[in-house]
Amino acid sequence: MPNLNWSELQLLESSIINSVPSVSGVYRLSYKSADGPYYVFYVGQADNLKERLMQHLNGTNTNSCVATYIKNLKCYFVYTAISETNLKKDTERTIYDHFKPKCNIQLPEGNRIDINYN
Amino acid sequence: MTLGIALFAKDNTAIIASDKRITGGTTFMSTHGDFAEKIHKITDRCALTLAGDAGIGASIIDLFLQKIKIELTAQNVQDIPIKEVAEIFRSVAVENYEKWFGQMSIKDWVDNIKNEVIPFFRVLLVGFDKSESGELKRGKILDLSSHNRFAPSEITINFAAIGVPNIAQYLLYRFYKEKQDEIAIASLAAFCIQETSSQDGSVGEQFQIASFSDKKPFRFYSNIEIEEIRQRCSELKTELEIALFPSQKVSEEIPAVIPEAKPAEPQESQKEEIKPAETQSAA
Repeated sequence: MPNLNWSELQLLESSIINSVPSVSGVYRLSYKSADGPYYVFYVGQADNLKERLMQHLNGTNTNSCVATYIKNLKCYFVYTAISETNLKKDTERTIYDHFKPKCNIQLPEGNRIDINYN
Repeated sequence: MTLGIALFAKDNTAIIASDKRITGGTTFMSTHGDFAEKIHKITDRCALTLAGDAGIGASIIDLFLQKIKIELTAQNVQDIPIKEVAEIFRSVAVENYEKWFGQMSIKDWVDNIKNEVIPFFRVLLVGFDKSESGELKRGKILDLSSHNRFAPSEITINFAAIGVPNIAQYLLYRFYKEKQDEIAIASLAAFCIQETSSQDGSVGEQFQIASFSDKKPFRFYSNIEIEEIRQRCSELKTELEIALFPSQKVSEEIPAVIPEAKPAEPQESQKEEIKPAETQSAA
């Protein structure tokens, strides 16, 4: 089982995204509900995590569902740096299966594997 | 204008909500500052919200609350039935309308309101009437309007809206369910105000909410509670907005023999699991 080094849960805003490394990896987006929990609404992978998160924040190259969450709610992200392509795909698919995010329009490629989520 | 809403939640809890914008009347008109308090406590078991001419409304309500105080003292009680409250309101309003605008036939009265010769003003009263046992337990909403000389009109369903009610009425008929939790009903009322405000500048986005029941006294929601409700409204709005977006769906693989239904397991859903150290940074 790969030991993924997940970041802390961080607010999706430009000053915080600026400190994310420009590396390849997998991330997920969530919002804090009025009831308390943080709900994941999107998972993705990127060759450049910092650039991809900034695209989500700015509403460029992001789907309407993600853009609506980010526009209406205070959103958060978690990421893990992964350079190996197959592990990246498998991790994205596995966290997709785990969180069942509403805004993923396509089923991610890759296979379910045994990973840590935090 | 205004949007004022009164409705009942479970445990006989009355909820009254209003925006805080004034755009009508002669005293203070603004669409830029939402400061007005449009919910008034009458007793611990009765409250009102108003729409229409805010200046005249405030004058009438001041006189009415004085009269209520006198009545409670005279009867040596803390609360009186909503129908008695309504009758006091009607007599104060009609007496002062006639004092200020002259005696009128009912036809002249209606024509003068319609033609804006005399100011329009309306309140929703929410409170309790006596049950068969004589206790104040029977929840009621009454509508008193200058249009019909403040005759109390009983609302026969568990919610009502005054001011700019169209969007609210749609949402209330669509989503209101009897005996729901107070937080859900209060959030629905706030959602009605926010949605109306998004389409009509005469209704403000800021809102206030109060609640009471036959057991719990009147209280205004705190700023923290209002913020929580605001968050719930944002979530509901988001859920409604994304509902029509395409999403990944997994079709059912129907087995040859459908097994008998088992009790549903609680769904773990999409909760983010937070490391203890992360909670602080995320807040």
